[in-house]
Amino acid sequence: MNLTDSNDYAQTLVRGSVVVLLGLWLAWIWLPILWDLFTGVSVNPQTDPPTLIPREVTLEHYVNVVQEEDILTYIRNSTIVTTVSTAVSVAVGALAAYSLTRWDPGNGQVSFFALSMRFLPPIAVAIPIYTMFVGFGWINSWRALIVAYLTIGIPISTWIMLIFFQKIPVELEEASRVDGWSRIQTWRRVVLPLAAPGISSAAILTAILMWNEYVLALVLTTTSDAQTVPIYLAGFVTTRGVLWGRMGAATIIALTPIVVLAFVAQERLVAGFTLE
Amino acid sequence: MVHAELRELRKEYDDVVAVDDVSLSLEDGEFLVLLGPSGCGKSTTLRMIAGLEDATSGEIVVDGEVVNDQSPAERDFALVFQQVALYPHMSVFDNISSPLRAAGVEKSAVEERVTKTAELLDIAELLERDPSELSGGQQQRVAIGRALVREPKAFLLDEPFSKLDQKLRIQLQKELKQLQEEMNITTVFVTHDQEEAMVLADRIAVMDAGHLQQIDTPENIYRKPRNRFVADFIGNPTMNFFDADVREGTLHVDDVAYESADTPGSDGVTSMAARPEDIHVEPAPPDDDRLVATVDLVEMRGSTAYFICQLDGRELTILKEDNDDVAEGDSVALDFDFDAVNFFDGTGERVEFARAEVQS
Repeated sequence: MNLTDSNDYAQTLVRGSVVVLLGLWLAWIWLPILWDLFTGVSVNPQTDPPTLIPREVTLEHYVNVVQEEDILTYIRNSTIVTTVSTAVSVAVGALAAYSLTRWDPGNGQVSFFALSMRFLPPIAVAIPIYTMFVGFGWINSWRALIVAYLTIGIPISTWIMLIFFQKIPVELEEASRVDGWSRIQTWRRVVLPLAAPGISSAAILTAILMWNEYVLALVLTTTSDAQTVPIYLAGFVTTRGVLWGRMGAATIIALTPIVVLAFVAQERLVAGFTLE
Repeated sequence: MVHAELRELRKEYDDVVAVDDVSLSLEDGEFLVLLGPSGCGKSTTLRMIAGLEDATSGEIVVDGEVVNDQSPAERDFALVFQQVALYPHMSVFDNISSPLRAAGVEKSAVEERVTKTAELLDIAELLERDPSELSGGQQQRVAIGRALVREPKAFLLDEPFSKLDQKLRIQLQKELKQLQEEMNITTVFVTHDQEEAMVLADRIAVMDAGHLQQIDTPENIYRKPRNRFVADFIGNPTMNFFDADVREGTLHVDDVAYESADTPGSDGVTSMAARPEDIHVEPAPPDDDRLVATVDLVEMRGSTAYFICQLDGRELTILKEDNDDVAEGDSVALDFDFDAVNFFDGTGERVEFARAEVQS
């Protein structure tokens, strides 16, 4: 073979490998969800041998999940906790990121400390927080999760928004001050509009993290008054066996809000991940 | 009418002194240029005048009132930044009208004043555009418009043209100078470009390492620099420096006696500085008793030609006059226009001779 031919061959090989790898990766992600989908609508999910596409379909699992298994209550809990905690995290994070980029306290020490909290696994502080909250009488309340989730939400939203605030030139704020606007007016008129993309990226990523959080929710909540969707889903693995059908239905229902959110906000999500 | 004064203005960052007790006064309607190399403290001084930086000590006085504690808007100063700093999420109209809206001016007046200013600056058709759609020069005009629309007491500019190409820079310099003269606004302009300073200024304040070196008209700064730094910094092409001293009443330049130089009294002269146009050459006969240099190169700059000469390992730049019959490689004898050259002592300070003054 001459050089061009071998080059073409190599290129095809490389492209082929990339396609295969991507395909495997996509399968890894999508197959479980597909499985949930099919299981959720099949009459007898526990066939032997197990089949993927069901022979008979039914919606009874969905009905059960909503009526008997009370999925809506758990969704309510998750929504309240995630929304409030995200809102507070993003608000605090925005102010923190702004301050850290405009005045560098302690020569980088403060920002390092605040941002290194990102690497703190929630499980490490689960027990101490539990003990504290018992003292407050907060166990099994929305309050408990909202406050506990701030340990996740504030570091990560500060971190994401730091880059976005850094990109806003200080001169713009100075120009605003010289024009005669006060600091608060400058914040509202100049800084916030320009930071908005960063704020929405941070909000979406934080919300997703909090919605899926399992460990702190498990430790700090005990009944359906406050338990969140991840706990609920885990509950289908009972001592009497796995309730496949209901689990499949429940998972699909639980996934839906997040998928919709991600779809609607995918541009912001990507910006948040790539920090652009 | 605005009379402003800086009294011993000082700015320290930890242990670095950025501005070292600078004092100067600003006349009403004057175009003052703060000139100096990077890091000399000129921008810091401007920002203190504007109110964006706090002075470590010293006072900024406007019309007899100490304004150190006032915000930029309270001082009624407008500022044009080097990085333009237009609000990217607002239209050109909203950018220019920003200071008026901050002051609560009513809508109809705002519209009128913005349109008038935009016409003055030749950007009236750009009012609905976004800053990102404009060229660098147009953006800077908008920034100037935003500053001038409020008819401020003083107009402060921080190297506004340094990012533009040469031709545009010259164009905007001309327009700015005309505008400033028409409106008679007191202006402080910071630059490191000494040609820009010479073109724009009524007076130039030359700074180096936080110190004010000399403040005077462009002509005086050019003709009579107060020290070696100013002599070297101003003028294009640069000043030529020579060792000089007076022995028994006769001036010696680089150890060569020039008896024709009139030097009654000469306290501590150690060096002499001559501009390219103050040195004259002619082909040197052998045994010439003047300084002799070798012509390396004849350099053309625009319509003027210069001899680049070698003297004892140093390079000299000398203006070529039309009737000079000298070519590359020739040895030339140097004559100096002693009425125009500058003498400095050991500390680099100017030494004046009590000789007949050339009118300046």
